[in-house]
Amino acid sequence: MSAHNHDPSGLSHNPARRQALSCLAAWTGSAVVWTVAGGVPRALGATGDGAPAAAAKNALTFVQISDTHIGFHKEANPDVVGSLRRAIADIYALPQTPAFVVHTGDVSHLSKPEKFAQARDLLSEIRVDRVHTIPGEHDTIDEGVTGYLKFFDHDGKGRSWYSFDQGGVHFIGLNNVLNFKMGTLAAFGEEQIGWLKADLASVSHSTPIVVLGHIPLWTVWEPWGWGTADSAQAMTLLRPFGSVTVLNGHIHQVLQKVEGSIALHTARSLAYPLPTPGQAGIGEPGPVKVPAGELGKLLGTRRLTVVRGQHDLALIDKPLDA
Amino acid sequence: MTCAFPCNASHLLRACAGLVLVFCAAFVTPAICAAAAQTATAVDIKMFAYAPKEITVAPGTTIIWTNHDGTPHTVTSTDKSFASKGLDTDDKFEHTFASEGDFSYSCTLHPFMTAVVHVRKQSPDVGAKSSSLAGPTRAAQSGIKTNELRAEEGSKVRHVD
Repeated sequence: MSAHNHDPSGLSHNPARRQALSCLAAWTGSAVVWTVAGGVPRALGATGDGAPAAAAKNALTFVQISDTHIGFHKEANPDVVGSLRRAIADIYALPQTPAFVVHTGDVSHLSKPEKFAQARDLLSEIRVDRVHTIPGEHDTIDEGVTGYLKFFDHDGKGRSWYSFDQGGVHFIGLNNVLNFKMGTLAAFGEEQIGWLKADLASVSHSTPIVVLGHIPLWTVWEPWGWGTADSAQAMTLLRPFGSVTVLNGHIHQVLQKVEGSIALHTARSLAYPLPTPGQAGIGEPGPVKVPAGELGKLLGTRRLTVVRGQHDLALIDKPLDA
Repeated sequence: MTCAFPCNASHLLRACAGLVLVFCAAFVTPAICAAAAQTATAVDIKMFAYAPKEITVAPGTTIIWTNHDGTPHTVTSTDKSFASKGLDTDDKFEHTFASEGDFSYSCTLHPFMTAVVHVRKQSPDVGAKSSSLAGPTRAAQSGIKTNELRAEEGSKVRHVD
């Protein structure tokens, strides 16, 4: 394992982190890192051997869920409500109650108001102070973000992007399903990038930042629209910060990428798996049907812990079924 | 109509100057009329694509899209002249194209699914080229025999089989 520098910005302050990541960087450069092999995957950046660490006092712990697709009712998963309820049970079973939950989009499957209502009711079953949501493209089908905002307006401002501070961490929720144009990747748009720039201006560079965005902020696979056209602008705004964690959904599988001090993680869905680009025999990103009993291994949740003094969040990805 | 000569296609006749040929195209126009009267055309949405991806229709034609995928899609035109709601599996959307033009459209959930509708008035000429027309450009190609003609008495008509 060489110790050569894969952080051209020179802003990685933690030599131990850089050492841990240089192994990955030597293996992948800035390419995608697979961390899921089966069973419980190794947590990227976690201390020790990846076993769930007891959270230190004052550590902020929260949970990410994604792509619940309430309203989906086909062979790939005839009971998405049941899958979400199993995830909620897993959250109850955590050794420490998380401070809150984030949902990285595709709350509903068809943007139907009654399904938004059902999703909101289900999410309120989670005994946390708050579930922070962002929209996916399945939430903005018929009337843009208007229908979604009637149920999930974060701060009453009638806008689908927002930020908040908790536990010394600055959280940002973004909407990258607003600017779909024919034949191109989705984009944040100028107004939102302008808002992001102003929002970050008042945050110190040593404050850990967590960004929520539905579609991945790096181009995972352009032919399927798995990327964000103007993410480079957002990444430029985030680059000066010492610890940035980007949490995405959309692709219904866990992929991770590290760019300097920015770590990006996509998440499993709680509805159905999607194929891997290039997977033999599958050319489109449609729901994948798996044998009975296998579905729970491909759906799951993620627990994240912000530990004082560490630039990386500790992540544990847990499938519904081991 | 009566012919001055026996109207038998197997006869080989000779033509000379001053001959007036009236070529009856009555057998051709029914095909064009049938195409113009065709009011509905289907486009399938399957495997994250519109089939056919490019189609030409006459003004007044209605296109009916049907989603055969397990994933929802939409039919949303670039110029906002038509836009479906979210279409689940087996849902349909239809739009009647009143005026000529080129209408590109895509799926709002999957912007890489793109297609276009060309709307063109159909010309009554036999030579009119249109992918939606089955009319022949040459009568002989369709196998229809075209024997109706007028010729002045005493003239010669050359018939080529």
